[in-house]
Amino acid sequence: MALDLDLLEGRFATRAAAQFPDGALTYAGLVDRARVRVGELRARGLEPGQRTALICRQNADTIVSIVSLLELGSPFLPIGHVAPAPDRSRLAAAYRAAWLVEDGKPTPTGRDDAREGRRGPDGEPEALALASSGSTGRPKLALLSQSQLRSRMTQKCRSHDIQRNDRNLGVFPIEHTAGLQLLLASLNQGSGLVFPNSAHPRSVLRTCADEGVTLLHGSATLFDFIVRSRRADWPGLDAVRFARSTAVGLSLETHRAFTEAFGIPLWQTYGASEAGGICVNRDGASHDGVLALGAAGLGVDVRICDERGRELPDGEVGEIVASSLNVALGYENDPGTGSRIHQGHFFSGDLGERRNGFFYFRGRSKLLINMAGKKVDPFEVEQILLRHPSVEDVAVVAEAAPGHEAVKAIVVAREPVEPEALMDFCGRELAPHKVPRRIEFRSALPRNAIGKLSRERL
Amino acid sequence: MEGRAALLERVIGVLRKSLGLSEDQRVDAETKLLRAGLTLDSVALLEFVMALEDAFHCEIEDDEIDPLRFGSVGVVAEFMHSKLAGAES
Repeated sequence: MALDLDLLEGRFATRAAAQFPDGALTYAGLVDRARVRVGELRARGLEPGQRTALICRQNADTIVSIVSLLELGSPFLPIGHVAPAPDRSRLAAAYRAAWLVEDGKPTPTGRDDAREGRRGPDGEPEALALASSGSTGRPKLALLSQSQLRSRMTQKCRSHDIQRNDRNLGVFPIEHTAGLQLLLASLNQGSGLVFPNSAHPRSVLRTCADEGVTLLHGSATLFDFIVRSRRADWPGLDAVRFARSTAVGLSLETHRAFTEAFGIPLWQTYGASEAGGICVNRDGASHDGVLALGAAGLGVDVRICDERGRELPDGEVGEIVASSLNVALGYENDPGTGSRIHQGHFFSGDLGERRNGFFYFRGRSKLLINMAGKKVDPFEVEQILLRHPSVEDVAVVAEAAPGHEAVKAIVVAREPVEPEALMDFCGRELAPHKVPRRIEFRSALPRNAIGKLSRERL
Repeated sequence: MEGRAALLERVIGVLRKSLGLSEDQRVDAETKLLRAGLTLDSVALLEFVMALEDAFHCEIEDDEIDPLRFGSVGVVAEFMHSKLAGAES
């Protein structure tokens, strides 16, 4: 199994596996509760190999469920509790889950097409699925085997220097790839994961000070918020060895302001649900005012390739392709577009270039919106809005916001309709981060001769 | 302390600026902020909370950011009114 419960219990029993504002979950407590839950899940009929959609909250019970499902051998897809019922159903259907587990209680989905987990080339069973985004509005789910999950946890600890005595604070939802991988890496290492009261920068800094946090992990948005809103009477990050920003979007200005203000390094890391960690920039390497994604991570071969998959020389822009043992088995529900996985190679759909061993982000060849680290597929939002009777045509685009992108819908309306009505409509169908923050009305959208939307002319 | 109507206008101004709302997007006391379960720690809400703290020179604690206080613009204005009144007393 991906986590060795006997080892965790024996070595780290009294240490806090997770620290919440209202108390700690020790390793001994986690292992005890996980063993009980495995028994309960089996008693209700959940068998190894059967897939589960797991509704996640930021609490100890969700961590117990994650560890239990790994121990039981039931592959799972984590889904945030804030996702409304239709969004949960779409994801569970895409995964062909036989069970839905919420607050520790399993319920059969009753799906006729429920599938057992796949096996990797080494015969290892599927451990979990991580939601990615395609360009057709269908959720893409990257599948990881137990051995790949173990490998990712080990690589993450080494590459991101997570040590046994560290107290990690991660400002991510557990169901998010960054949150789940940090949780599992931290458990694997026997270190602690601290959850703040909220993502407010003041709350994050106070939690760091109060809980002796040694590693701070967050999205570029968090560091942008910290730099923009910091007050003199807020605590520093005295016990923190370094901070780490995930995904793209961290500006050189924010990086410099943060490192000057707190006197600790701020690492930039780049990865994907499909590939795990890809690049690490520990020293703030930059070129021409742009912070590098980093050099290739431990055990990862990173190349810049043209459309035919041929490697490009330094300074030329092409697709970022990562190859490693950590690349997912493949997709469930693969629409065959956007990013691709092929025999240990991940074709990211992100554009980049290499300079002196460092990789730089140069845009996306696929149309994803980066909402503070959570990827939003515009097509998925467009499909929902087109179901509204007042919407004749729609294009969903990214709108620049400090440190991230916001979702904006450009709507051609059949009849007068309030923006709030369209937002409410989306809110009933989609997870909150996918709901457009702004609605702009136009009389028509630019389309080419065959009726395809010309996004570049929007 | 400023009256409720003036405070409501300020809250609307803060919301417009923090979310980059255009002038043609109608915002009034009835405008809902927590549409269909918008998460409390969502980026948009956090931006709005920080913008309110900046504009009104106050701290909104984590346990004050709940759906009851951030259900609509009018409720936020009322919350800010009582918070500022509490700070003055």
